[in-house]
Amino acid sequence: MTRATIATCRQLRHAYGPTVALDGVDLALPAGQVVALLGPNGAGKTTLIHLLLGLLPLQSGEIRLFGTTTPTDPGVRRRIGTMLQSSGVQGNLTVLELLRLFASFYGAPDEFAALVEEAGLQGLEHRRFERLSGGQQQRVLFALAAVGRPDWLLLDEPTTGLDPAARRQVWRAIEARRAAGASILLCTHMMDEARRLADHVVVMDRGRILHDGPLADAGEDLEELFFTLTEQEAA
Amino acid sequence: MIANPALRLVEAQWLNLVRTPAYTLPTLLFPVMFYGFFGLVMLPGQSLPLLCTFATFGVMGAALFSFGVGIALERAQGWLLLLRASPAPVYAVIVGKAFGALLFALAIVVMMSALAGAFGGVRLHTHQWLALAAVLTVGALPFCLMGLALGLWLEPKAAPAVVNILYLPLGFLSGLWIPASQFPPLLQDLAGWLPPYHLAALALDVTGARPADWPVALAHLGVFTLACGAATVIGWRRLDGAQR
Repeated sequence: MTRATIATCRQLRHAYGPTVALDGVDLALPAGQVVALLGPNGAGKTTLIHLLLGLLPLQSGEIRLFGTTTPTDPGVRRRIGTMLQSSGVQGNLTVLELLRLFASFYGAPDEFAALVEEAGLQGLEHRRFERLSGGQQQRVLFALAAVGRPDWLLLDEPTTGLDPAARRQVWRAIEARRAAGASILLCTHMMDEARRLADHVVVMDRGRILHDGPLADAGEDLEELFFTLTEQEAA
Repeated sequence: MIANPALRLVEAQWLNLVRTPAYTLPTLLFPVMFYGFFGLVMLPGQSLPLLCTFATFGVMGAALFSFGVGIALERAQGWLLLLRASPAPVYAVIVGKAFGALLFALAIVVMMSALAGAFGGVRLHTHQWLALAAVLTVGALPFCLMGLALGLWLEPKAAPAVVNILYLPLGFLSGLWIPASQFPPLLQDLAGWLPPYHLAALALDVTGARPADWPVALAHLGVFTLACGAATVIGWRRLDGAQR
């Protein structure tokens, strides 16, 4: 039986000058699941995400997104919501103004009231982004990624720097999206986050995929698997 | 509710300008103050030609700084990357930014014109005032493209310094502060090759201060626009290659 996929990568290689960031990556990201992409700093996670989004030129290999090889196609882009590590969001816009701006990029955006509630932003709609706490800002960025009701959410370290309560709020929002049928690629350093949210786990280091399989196959101790694999790779 | 992404980005740019007076007011007042010193206080008999050349200097600065420095900073902060990852059309991103620069250009021309009329004794017909505003606002577009190209090519930290290094000599050598006719012959020849010189020539013509050779001026500005457009397209593609 063939499993439905959102994206497939075949023999992806990418280098920045002499530095190899991706070294022959083969990957099939299953539809309707949360895939946790784990790896230490410099593993190639962000390069992989940028390639998937068409933000970097393809040097070698092939990417298929929603059955096409053109990730920059507006029709493909409208099916994707993105939360990147640095957003540089115009801080003097309010939450509602930002939501309206990003909603205008999509054909059938989400209802703001429901989205605001999902992201835990009630009462903050008219507050400027620069006057929000770090956790509130992360939740706004999540809402901006989700406003277009994307089929696929790419979340690059969405809870980094958040306190436990704020992390749980983002986790609940991710779970709600998965329950609504979205596929999610979650790039994270946090094993507890992957353990709680992921259906599928991909571990990468030094530009290579070290593990790719369902969470259940990763064993009881995800952290142990992660360190065993990355230390083997380093050796 | 506005659903068009270009209009939403224009709205965002507008809100950004009105909510950051610490940036907006000095940017608007600097060229106007410059005109006040030179065009009204030091050389009162030259109020009209200096209105045209200093307004050219002002709109060029608005375009170069808004785009050149603005885009470079947005690249560094990740905003441009987020927009590129979204379905926002590239044209909408550029239209949003251009709106801010053109609004600045228009405001500078209006403020300078008001100053010239009130304190410099400059009297023009309504259609001449309107033509001056139109020529210089539309004429800011090639410089918007130049700024965009610079913003895409320059390192963010280098952008303000490089834009200043280009802006001030370009203004001087184009005869925007001192008429090019007073330059040594070599610099006079050079001025004839510089785009701001030709934009100022059109402004001088529509106000009746000095006739211009429109085909020559438009050809220079057209070639300059194409060159900046090409640099922008290459810079945009290069961004993909350089982004980590």
